[in-house]
Formats: sequence, structure tokens, C-alpha cells
Amino acid sequence: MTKIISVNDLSYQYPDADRPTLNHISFEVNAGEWVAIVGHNGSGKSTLVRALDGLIDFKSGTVTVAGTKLSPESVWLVREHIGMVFQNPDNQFVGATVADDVAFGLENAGIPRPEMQQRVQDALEAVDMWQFAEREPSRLSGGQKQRVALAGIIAMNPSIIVLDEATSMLDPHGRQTVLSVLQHLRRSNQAPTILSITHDLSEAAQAQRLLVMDNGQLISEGTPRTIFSDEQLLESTGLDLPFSTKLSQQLAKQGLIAPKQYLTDDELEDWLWQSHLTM
Amino acid sequence: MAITFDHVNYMYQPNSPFEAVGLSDVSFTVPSESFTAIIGHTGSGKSTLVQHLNGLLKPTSGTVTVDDFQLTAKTTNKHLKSLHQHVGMVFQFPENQLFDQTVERDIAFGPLNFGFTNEEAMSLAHQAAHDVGLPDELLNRSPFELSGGQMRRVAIAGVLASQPRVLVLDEPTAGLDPRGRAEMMAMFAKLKADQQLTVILVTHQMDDVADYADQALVMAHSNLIKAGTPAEIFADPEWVKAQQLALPTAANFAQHLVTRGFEFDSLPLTAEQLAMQLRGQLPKEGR
Repeated sequence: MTKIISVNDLSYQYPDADRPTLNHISFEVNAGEWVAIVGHNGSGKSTLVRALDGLIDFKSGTVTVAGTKLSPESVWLVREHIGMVFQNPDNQFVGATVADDVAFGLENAGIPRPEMQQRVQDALEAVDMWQFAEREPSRLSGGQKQRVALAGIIAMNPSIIVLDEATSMLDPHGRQTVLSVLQHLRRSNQAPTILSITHDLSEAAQAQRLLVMDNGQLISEGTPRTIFSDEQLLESTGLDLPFSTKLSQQLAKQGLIAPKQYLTDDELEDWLWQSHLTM
Repeated sequence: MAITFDHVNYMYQPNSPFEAVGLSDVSFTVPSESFTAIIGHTGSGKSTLVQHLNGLLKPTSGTVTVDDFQLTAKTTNKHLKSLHQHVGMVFQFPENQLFDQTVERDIAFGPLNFGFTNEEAMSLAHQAAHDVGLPDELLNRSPFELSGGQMRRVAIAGVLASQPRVLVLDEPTAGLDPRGRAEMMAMFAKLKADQQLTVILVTHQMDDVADYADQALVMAHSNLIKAGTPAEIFADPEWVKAQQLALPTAANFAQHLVTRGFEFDSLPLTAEQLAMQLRGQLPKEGR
């Protein structure tokens, strides 16, 4: 597998801080992989992805993106590979219409008009928002806004898409529509690498691998199943317990036989059904 | 403090080409010291409704009654001061409204404005800071040096310092991590119990409705389309889905179990209720 991101012994301390926000971080991401970074507010997640994009000036450690080592000279080259979607959709609109907004990055890159128009349409169709092309972005719902923001990124065809708590302000329906667009995108020809920062467990569950951050350190990594099985880790890092774990705990409290290991919601449903049949 | 809406209508920019309905014939009663959730998707009228609670908006017709205060189209702004003091509003991202040089002064601003002496205001500020769990050593710091969660607590303390009897919360946990969310909701429940507050919560989190609310109001297209206990609101999952609302996580899971042959007397809304209703349908431990 090709490594698309390599972070090696990265440390960073904000000028006025009394301790490092990033403390000797090392990890790698494979091309096409979906990795979620989890951890509570202030654990260093956002600073870490800002470092990847050259938005903070770290002195110690190295970041390599798509074979290019990040430096003041290479930062623009590195940024061509990365598209970022942020938390608050209202802060990232520049165009008067949805189509103008999606076209913004392409115009900046000097893409000829006919190709630009095609790419705007393709991107808006990918997020199922083409019928809104002439609408004002401010009049859309939260989920629709984040899909437009995502279309602006898709149009640029970056090899890596970074989502910085991009679904945290959305209602459950809006969150689901954004996540299904991403799942769909992964199976398309673009097949981007996805790095999502989140504390929503349903979003983290979609990833192939989780990186757990606490206090500026990478304290654990593993599949969603491995991480979700570790109740102590989830609690100590301020994350929620999966619903299936909460229900299993309540079953034990009622004196009922409960599963002995972590199960996903679907697996728990099957398990309860099997258990019910033995009655 | 009890709250009553009696046939409240609100028009945005009436008699102009931009006239738009904000609230359409809304009537309901919130009992004193209850916890009421207001749900409905973006643009349904939730914010318009809560802005009537402290007179930021006045009904175009109809009456809003808060305790013995009546708000109608004719109420003058001069008469709104007691309403402002008794109904505390915590807006979305309230930390954006912090402005003063120290945490203490920021929290004391409300009481000073309502005519308390400097000494009284400082004492109220210290009490409110304590109630939201801010350590004393932060009181002389700049609010802008604090973490996001702490800044939000400062803003909430600023509302509580004026000793409101009604606390209106507009998505107070947006943007917090799961631990911060749980801590903040537990804090509101404790404040309500300790200070006998009437709490109104605008939220998209159906699990919070299931865990905390005594009753819920469902808004859609400027109308109040349903009012009742959370159990009554979520009793008909088809209706909930048709309103583009979600079920609480446990209720959703229970729905799946129903298709597998499980039976529930009433739809469970929390993991605890679900586990209790599964007694008798699952084998017991140790048999």
C-alpha cells in the first residue's frame, strides 16, 4: 500500500501555552484509507490537521504528503493534495449562488470555463445538490450547506479530504446525508483518502482505523471495534460509549444475560434475537 | 413560573411585500418548574417562539403570559424590564457575547444593569460562577483566555447572576464534545432542581428530550403541531419520521427489535427503559 501521509515525531507548542499541543506524534495513512481522529475538545486534533496543511509553523518533526516533505517552499504543492471542510458551514461560503461557490476554487486555479462548468455540475451531482445550483447558500439547511462545502472540495479533486468536525453542527438527518455522500465518493473514481476529526461515534464507526488523541499525544490506534471495546479508554478520553455498550450495561443491571464482548448495534440486535429464541 | 401562549400569531414585516408568518395561532401552557423541550427542524419557528418568552419579539396578536406578566402587541418596551430579569436567555454559542475584561465583571454585568449595588452584583456573580462550576481562580482572568467550554460556562453564569425564574436554552451544547455535553446537561438539571427553575430547551438531540424533558412541543411551518410528554411525542414512529425528526437512539433500536418479534407495552425511550422492558423476554443471568 502507498503511504499518502507520513507524520514523524511531530511536536508543536503555541507561543503562549505552558505545554505542547502536539507531543511527539507519529502515524501513517494509506492512500484511499478512511481514518478518524477522535479525542475531546482541546486534545490537539485540530492542531494536528492544521499542521498537515502547513497552517502552523512547527519546528520539530516531519510531515510528508503524497511524497512531498512539507516545508515553507513545498507548502503550496502539499495544499493541492488536501481539501478541508470545517465545522461551521456559514464561515466558508464566498459565492452568491451555490454554483458560484463551488466554482471559486476552480476559478482561482485558472481552469478554462467549459471544463469548470462541467466540474461544478459533476461535483454538485455527486452531493445531490445540483437542483440547488442557482440558490443562495445562506438559505440552505445545515446539512445542505455542508454538502455544498464538500462539493467545492470534490470539484478540486484532491487526493485527501479532511473533515474537521464537519458534521458536529448538523442534525442527525443532515449528518447522515453527508456521511453517505462520503461513502459514495470512496467508491467513485476519485476514491480520496479521508481524514475525519470527530467525536461522533456513528461517524467514527465509518472509518477503517481510529487514532485516539489525548493531551497532545496519540494514545491509541485501532479499528473502530478495538477502540469501542475499550470502555475505560473511551471514558478517560471524554468520548461517548456506543449505544450497544450502554444497553449491555443496563441489561446486566436488570440481571439479564448480556454479551461479554463489544458488539455493534446490528450485532447486538442479532444477539438479542438469538437469546430471545432460547426462552 | 408558569408560561401560557394564548392564540399567539407573529408576522415578520407585516403590511410589506416581505410579510411572512413567524408563528401561526400557537397556544400551549408550560407548568411552573417543569422542563420543556422545543423540537422541529431549522426554520420551523422554534427561535421565533422563544424570542417571545422575554419580549424580544411581541405577538402581532394573542397573549403571552409569564407568571402574572402579560405580553401583547400593545406592551411598551418600558414595561419589559421585569420580564427581561425573570426570563434568562442562553443563545447558541453564548461565548460569542462575552465582552468584559474579567470573568467576574462579565458575569456581574446583568445584575448591575438591573440595579443591584456593586457589592450585591459581585456576590451574585460569585454565586453564579460557583453554580456553573467555574473555579474561583478564574474570576480575575480575561474570559478570552479560557477554553471554549469554560467560556460557555461564563456566559451561562452571566445569565444566572440576574436570578431568573425561567431559563431558556437554545441548543446550549452545540459544538461541545460528548463529555462536555453530558456535564452541561447534568448541570442544567441540577440548577433546575436547586433553584426551582422553569427550563425551556430548544434542541435537535432527541436523546436529551428523552432523558430530561417533562414535555415537548413540536414546531413545523410556524405551527405548533404536537405537544405532550416525550412518550406521547415519540409514540408514533411513522409520524415522527414524516416530520423529519429522529427517534431517541433507544426507541430506534427498540423499533428494530419489534420486527424481530419482541413486544413492548410502550416504546422505550432510554437504554434503561429498554432493558427493563426486555425483562421476561430474555434469559436471566445465572440460570
